[in-house]
Formats: sequence, C-alpha cells, structure tokens
Amino acid sequence: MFKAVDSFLGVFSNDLAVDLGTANTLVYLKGKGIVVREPSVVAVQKMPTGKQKVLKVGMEAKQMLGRTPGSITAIRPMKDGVIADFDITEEMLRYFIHKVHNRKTMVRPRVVICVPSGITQVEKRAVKESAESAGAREVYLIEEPMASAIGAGLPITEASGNMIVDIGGGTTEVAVISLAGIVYSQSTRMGGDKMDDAILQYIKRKYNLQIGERMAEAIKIEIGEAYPGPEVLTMEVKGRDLVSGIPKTIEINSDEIREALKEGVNAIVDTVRQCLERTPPELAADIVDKGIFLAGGGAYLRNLDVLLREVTKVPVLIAEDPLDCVVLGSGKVLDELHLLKRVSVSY
Amino acid sequence: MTTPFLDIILPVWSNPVEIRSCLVSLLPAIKSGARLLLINNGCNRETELLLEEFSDPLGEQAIYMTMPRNIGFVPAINHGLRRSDADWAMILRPCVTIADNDCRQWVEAGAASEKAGILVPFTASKYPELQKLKLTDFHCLETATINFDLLVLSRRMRQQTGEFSEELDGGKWCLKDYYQRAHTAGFKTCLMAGFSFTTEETTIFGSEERRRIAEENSRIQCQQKWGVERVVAVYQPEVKGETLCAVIDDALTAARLGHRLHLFLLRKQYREAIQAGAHLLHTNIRLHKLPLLSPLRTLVKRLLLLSQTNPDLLLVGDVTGFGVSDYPQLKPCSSLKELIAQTKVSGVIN
Repeated sequence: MFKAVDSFLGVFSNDLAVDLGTANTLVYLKGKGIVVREPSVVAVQKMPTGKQKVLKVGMEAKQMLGRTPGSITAIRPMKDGVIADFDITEEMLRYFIHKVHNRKTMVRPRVVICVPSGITQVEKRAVKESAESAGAREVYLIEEPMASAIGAGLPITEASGNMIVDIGGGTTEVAVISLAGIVYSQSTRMGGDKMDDAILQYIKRKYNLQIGERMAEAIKIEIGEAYPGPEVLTMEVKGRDLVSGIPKTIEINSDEIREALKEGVNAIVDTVRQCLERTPPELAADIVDKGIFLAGGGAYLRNLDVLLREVTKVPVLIAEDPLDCVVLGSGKVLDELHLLKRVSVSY
Repeated sequence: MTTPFLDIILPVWSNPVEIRSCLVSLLPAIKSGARLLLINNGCNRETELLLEEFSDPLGEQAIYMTMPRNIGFVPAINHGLRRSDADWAMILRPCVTIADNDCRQWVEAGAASEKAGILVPFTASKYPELQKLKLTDFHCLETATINFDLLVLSRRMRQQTGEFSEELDGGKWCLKDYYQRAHTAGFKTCLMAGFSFTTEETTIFGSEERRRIAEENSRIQCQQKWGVERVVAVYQPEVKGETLCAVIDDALTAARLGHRLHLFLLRKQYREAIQAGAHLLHTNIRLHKLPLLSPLRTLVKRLLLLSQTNPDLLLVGDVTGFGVSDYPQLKPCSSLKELIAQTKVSGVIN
C-alpha cells in the first residue's frame, strides 16, 4: 500500500543526486543540472527542553559560524566524509530535498547519494536511513571515486584501468576503476579541511597569530601550493595576536604555506604512490598511458598535479569541473538506470 | 616440519570473498600434509587481514609472503616456485574452489606415471569432448593444454625447465612455452581424473588493445621458438596392424609437439586403434570412425566441417579415389613425419 503511494508521489517528484560532502553539499536535479551548492553546515538552537531546533542550513548557517550566541551552534554534520550527526544530516537532507522541489509535501524522489569508498556497512545504512527519513522513495549509494570518474568522463565500463584521485573536504580517495568496478582503492583522512587546519596551526605557531577557519581557507585558495611555482605569491593575513590580544596584520608568502601543507600533501602523494604500486601491472600500464585524474576541491591546489607527476612519473590531468565531478557523475547515472544498478553499492 | 609432499602456491590480489572460499576449500589438502604458500601480491588491508588470520593458525603448514608491490601474476607464481621445496607444487588461481578430494592420493597416482612432469585435473566442463571416454579414478592421458587455474608441477621437472617466462603474455602463450620446455626436457603433461574443482570466471584486466599486442608478440615469439601448431587430418585406409600402430605413434609424437590430430579410420582400423588404446593417449588425438557404407563421402563431409573451423587444415594420407581438389594443403603420408621433424628442429635450435 505504502509502496503504491510512494510510486504515485514519485511521479510528481524529481530524481536527485546528492554529493554529501564534508565541506559542501551539491544537489543535482535530473534534467536541470546542479541546483544546490551549499556548505554542509546546519545552525541549531538548543531548546530548554534539551531538543535541538534547526534554524538555518547551508550558506546562511555557514555565515553564522563563530558569530552565534551561546544557545545557537553551527554544526558540520559530516566528518571525514561520513555522517557524524545522524539527526542533523537528516534535517539537512530534508531541507535540500524540499528546496529543490519548492514545496514541503508530496515529495518522494529517487535519490542517489555519494559515499566515501572505505565506509562500513553501518555507515552506509546510516546514510540510507537518513535519506529515507528525509523523504527519499528509493536510495542508491555510489562510491565517490566511481561518481567522480563518471563525472570526469572516464571510460569506466572498459577493461582498461582508470585512476582517479578525489580530494574532498574530509578525505582523499584514490581509486583504480575498471569494468565498472573499483578494483583497488585507498582512502586517507586528509582533505581541504585538514589543510586549512594545518595553515591555521602554522600561522599560530610561527606568528602567534590566531586566524579563523575562513581566513585559513582563503589563504589556501589564494597562495596555497604543493610544489614551488615560478613566482612567490604573498598575501596579507588578518588575525588576533595571541600575545597582545589585539588584531594584527601580517604578510605571508606561498613558500610558508607550502611548508604548512607539506605533511598533508605528502599524505596524498603517498596514497597515490601506494595505490599505483598495488595495482596489477596490466592496469598500471593503462594508467601510465591515460594519466591520473584529479577531482574534488583539492585538485585546485596549485601545482599539486606537477608534484604528483614529478613523484609518480605518470601524466596527471585535472578533471574539467573538479568540484562538481562527483555530483555530475551521480547525476549522469540517474539518466542511465542500468549503469546506476551496476555501479551502486549494496548495504 | 618435514618437507611436505605438495606446496600449494596461491598468489592473491584483493578479492576477499573469492579468496575466502578458495582458502576454505584448501583445508582438507593442508590437513593431508600439503603446505600453503600464500603470496600477498599487493592486497588491500581487508584481504591482508584475511590472509594473516588464515595463515597464522596453520603454523609451519603455511608460509605467508608479502610483496611490497603488485608484481603481476606470473612473477608472483615464479616467486612461489622459487620458495617451494616440495616434490610437487600446485599453482592455483584464487577463483578456484577445490572439492573434497584426496589430494595426496591423486598426486601420488600422478607421480607413479612415468616421467610425469605436469599434472592437470580432468574436469568434464573443460574437456566436453572427453566426456564419453568415462575416465575413471586417477586415469591419465597426456595433454598439451595447460591452464593457470590449477596446475601441479614436479620439482624434478622444474629444476630442468626453470620458471614461467615473464616476457610473454602471462596467459595462453606463456603456458604453451612452458609446456614445450617441459616436453623438450622429456616430461609428460598428464590430464588426470579423480580431482574435481570449480572455477569462477577470471576477470582479465587491462585494455584490450594492449592485451592484443602482448598476445600477438607472444605468439610470434612462441612460434619462432617452437614452430607453428597445426591441425592435421590423417586418412590412410590401407594401413593395419603394425603399420597402423606406427601411424598412431607418429600421431602421438606430433600431438606431444602441440599439433592436433584427427585420425579418420575405417571400421576395422578404428577397432584396432581402440584396442591399442589410441583414444586414451593424448587429448590432441581424436579418432573418427568412418561408416561402412560410403566412407569417402562421410570423410569429405567431415573434412569440410573441419576445414571451416581450421582454415589451415593439413590433410595427410592416401587420398586417391576421392575428390580433394578443395584441399590445397593435401600432403603425402610422409608429411606427418616431416612436420614432426620440422617442429623438433625449431624446438632444438631455440
């Protein structure tokens, strides 16, 4: 009976693909493209009864980060690529599903959700149940590297090997894909957020200057690099002097940021190298021909491709829309149901 | 631990579900005194844990070797063979599940055959044409076709033939080369009944183009080294008794060199050949019984069918009396001996 109602309501709902990332959540609406691109942040207010009330979600909630009164907290419900707060994630998903449909009732879409490749069955089930509670009729889970590879336009169904490195906010996923399956993957809990934190700590340690997360991210985007480029870039950084306690401005350069990011970048390079080493020679030979594809926000880190090329001696290419690869890939499989069934994971 | 009678070499690469069932199926063999040589060929952590968990309780009956990187299937096998010091070594793909066989008895039965170097288990699914032979326990006939799914190699032979060639394609031609080396060293390859196993389809990775090139290069190398394997149809209606036995002997020699022989025999000849055990000599020899009435017409029909699947079919024998203008490859009776000599020469030169 409920199934029949679901199917009926499904007619009036649009299928969605969701990239539930640690830093940002992207939603792809079948036939329309990416319709939501918002930070994975939820502002909640603690009620006197102990319950939590969701105030804002996404961009509006992010703007509240660090500027909220005591009773309101801005939460990132995803941590290291997986759900850290089940209820808040459910609320966030519900908000996005309703937002793309412009209504709150009669919404029962089919939803494709991307998950990191290394997550456990329990974590997969948590994602599925969150989506179902948020109103999804059918839930399909796709591993992020797979979605990324589809989004980057790699020939994943062929027998040849394809390597994708998806550097997200919380995790970096390295995977070798062949015959529509992940034949080898490795994940490291290193991503954009950890890099931001590394910059924050570096400036704190070296200059006794406390900067915010957003400033750290801005520094990474502006002058962050993985390998020395032709010129040294500089940037003015504003923060609070930890000794005097008053605001202070300093100038830092790209060499210093490279130093700060060294550990994180090395972790990514090591994961790629290890993955290449453990790939059978037949597939590794294909990767040498085709190159390694970088996707995710981390692909924008200046000269990361140069460093990887230097270390692995394999061509490294940046996907066309690195930030959107995952959601575009999962959106693509919404159009091809047979492919969706081949690449989705069981839970 | 005393030297085991058998070393089971299992190169593994990341497929825990498949590997678990393979390992479980090996337990009876390990219990009967075989030793497991597990080669971790760059597995992921989940598979590594599985291998460690499995090999630890086996103590000296399992040797766990970890490769720092994936070195490929054939080099991993060679690595295992170098480590093996048992009289026999079984090479196994992880996609294989062994039934509850008496492994020791089977290997011992194989070892009893004179000059047996390679043992291959007979499975009805892989050799459907041999099904009607109804091979009984440990019955053995020679073969020239070997497969990496399951192979048992004797140490004496390995000491003479060396390792599998890592230069070749890692499949069909690599195995052909190994078989020929074993044969040149004087060892037989025996297809033996009494050992059952099932195998899942092996996923072959790598781009088709690259595989095609590798296979083509390997084919050229192999054929330069060992000569071209031919499909030969033999029809000699006049021979009988000792002369027929001589023809069968020639056919066996040719079959051992990798050629595939189709012997077309008249009713009486067929009976004699069966009595001489020609049907149980080699998998590359097939006997065809021609009917009493109009045997030539049947022969022509069958040759036509055969030449459709084998365009370079070589027809050898006395063919006077029937229309063979469609067979440009028609050769006199002595051609079989010439073919054998030619193939042997190319093997010796290389």
